Amino acid sequence: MKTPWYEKTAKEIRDAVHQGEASALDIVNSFIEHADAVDGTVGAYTQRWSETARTAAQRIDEKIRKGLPAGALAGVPVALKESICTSEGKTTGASKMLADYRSPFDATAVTRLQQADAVFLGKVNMDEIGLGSSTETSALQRTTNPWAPDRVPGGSSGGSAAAVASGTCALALGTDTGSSIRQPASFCGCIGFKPTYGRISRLGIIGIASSLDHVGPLARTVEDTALALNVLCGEDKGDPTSSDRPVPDFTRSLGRDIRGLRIGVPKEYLASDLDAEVRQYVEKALDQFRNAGAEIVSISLPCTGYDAAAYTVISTAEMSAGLARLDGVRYGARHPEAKSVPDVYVMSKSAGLGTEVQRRIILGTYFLSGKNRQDYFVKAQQVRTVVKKDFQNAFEQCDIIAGATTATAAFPFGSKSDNPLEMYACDQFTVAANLASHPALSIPCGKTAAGLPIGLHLQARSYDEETLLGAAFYYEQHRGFEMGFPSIL
Amino acid sequence: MEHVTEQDIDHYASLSQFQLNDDTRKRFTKEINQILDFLQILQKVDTESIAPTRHGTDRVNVFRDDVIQDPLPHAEVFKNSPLDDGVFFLVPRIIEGEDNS
Repeated sequence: MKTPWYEKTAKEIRDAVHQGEASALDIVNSFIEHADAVDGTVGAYTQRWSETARTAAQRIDEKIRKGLPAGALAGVPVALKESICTSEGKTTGASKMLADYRSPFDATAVTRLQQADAVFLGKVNMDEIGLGSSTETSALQRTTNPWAPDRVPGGSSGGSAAAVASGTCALALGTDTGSSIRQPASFCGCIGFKPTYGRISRLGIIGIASSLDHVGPLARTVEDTALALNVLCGEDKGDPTSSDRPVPDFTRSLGRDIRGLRIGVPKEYLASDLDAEVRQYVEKALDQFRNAGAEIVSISLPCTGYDAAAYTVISTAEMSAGLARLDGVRYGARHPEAKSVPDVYVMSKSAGLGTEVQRRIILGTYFLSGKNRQDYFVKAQQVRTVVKKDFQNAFEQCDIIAGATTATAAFPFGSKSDNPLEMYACDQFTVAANLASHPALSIPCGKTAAGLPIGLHLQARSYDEETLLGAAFYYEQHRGFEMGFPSIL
Repeated sequence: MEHVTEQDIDHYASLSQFQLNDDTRKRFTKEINQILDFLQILQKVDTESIAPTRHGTDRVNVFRDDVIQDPLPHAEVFKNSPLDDGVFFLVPRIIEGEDNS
């Protein structure tokens, strides 16, 4: 039987469209029909843009027919996280506060994808405003893990990961402040990539913590990840924190020889409370790298443990200031019974923002109040410097740092909702890359006996996405299994 | 060991413009104290004479040309406004006094 389009990679789709072997419309229709069939179970999509997607696909087909050049992602169906601004549809951040928000412009990442002739199938679910690790705090709907309907998809970009894993898009866009691309990718068995801070413009993203926020792609293959990065990365005059460094062709790093590559394994990562199956598959992945001629180096990251503490302080402090804009004055849901200006703020925010968002804003306000500012906030920023230094030292001994993305595979719904500390612990291996700004990815390295995906977390020096992609591509080609698609679909 | 009381949580909630009900106040007090216990680990890190890292970017002083650009049209600016008159965002009266309406 012929493989349906929705099971093909972005690269295969793009090539078929470029070569006129398939019409973008047929491809987009294949994904739309597949989403019709399975997304009722998964619940990744919060908005489906099927008609505009078909129109966009027809425009691409028209270009090809006329012999005009088509973009690097021609006809590739993409899903966008609810926190990424689009002039099409709504941008809700999965919050009641922004339930009717319509952005007057597209985020730069969206414009770049559009210029590359990607086709947007709609928006996907997330934790409210990006605060959460399970997509359970969404005010919109529940998204399930495509591999196990009783399990969470991870978060906050849970809808993006679930859509990629279930084949209802070929690529998705997510955002990552502490783990929000990589942890759901790990839970759903796809690739999630957080580039170096500033590689991808943040203009048009509902920001949480501006010094830690990143935009990045989720995909089913490393090659698709590289293709997406080629389109997404680059300076943006609209985001002064975007990097002006030259952007290489990331696909050229695929197929690199990894002999002699030094892969550092922090002894603190392996000493931590890793689930036995997760440990087994991560060690198996390291063996595969070793057998391929890479050098496995034991390293130390003394910051492990207190990086998550510094992250908690910095991220909540930044969000307590930044999210004050969600107050129902210029946009957002104003409480209909508010009779005074203080009422507008208090009633609108209390009714419009969920428990997790409120808790983190209150906590961040605490860290910025009076002498707490010095004791917690400035202290955490100093610890951030120590974390960066630790990684600089580690990257003198190795080119890649490897470990598990998360200590366990996807957990059941409701199992961590009542314990914020346990939920925050989902980020323990991933937050350091946000504090220190370097690139990191999660790639599937196996499945538990119960069939739940496990993610391998690889990190590299700042701006060295190429080494990261090269190592991940090698591993993907030699890991000895295909992720495939969940059987519930 | 630093701990917060329910009164403290009410204070920080009011600074953040939230009104908490009794259950939420109790819950936040308990959870925030657990988080503060966890954060004690920060005190173990020697940060004497270490400069704070305030941002993720390595860029400084990014300038753009001083040119006038088209602003968003009023209709676009106000399309998400809860209440406006087409020129201003409207909120309930702030200053008490003679009613001019």
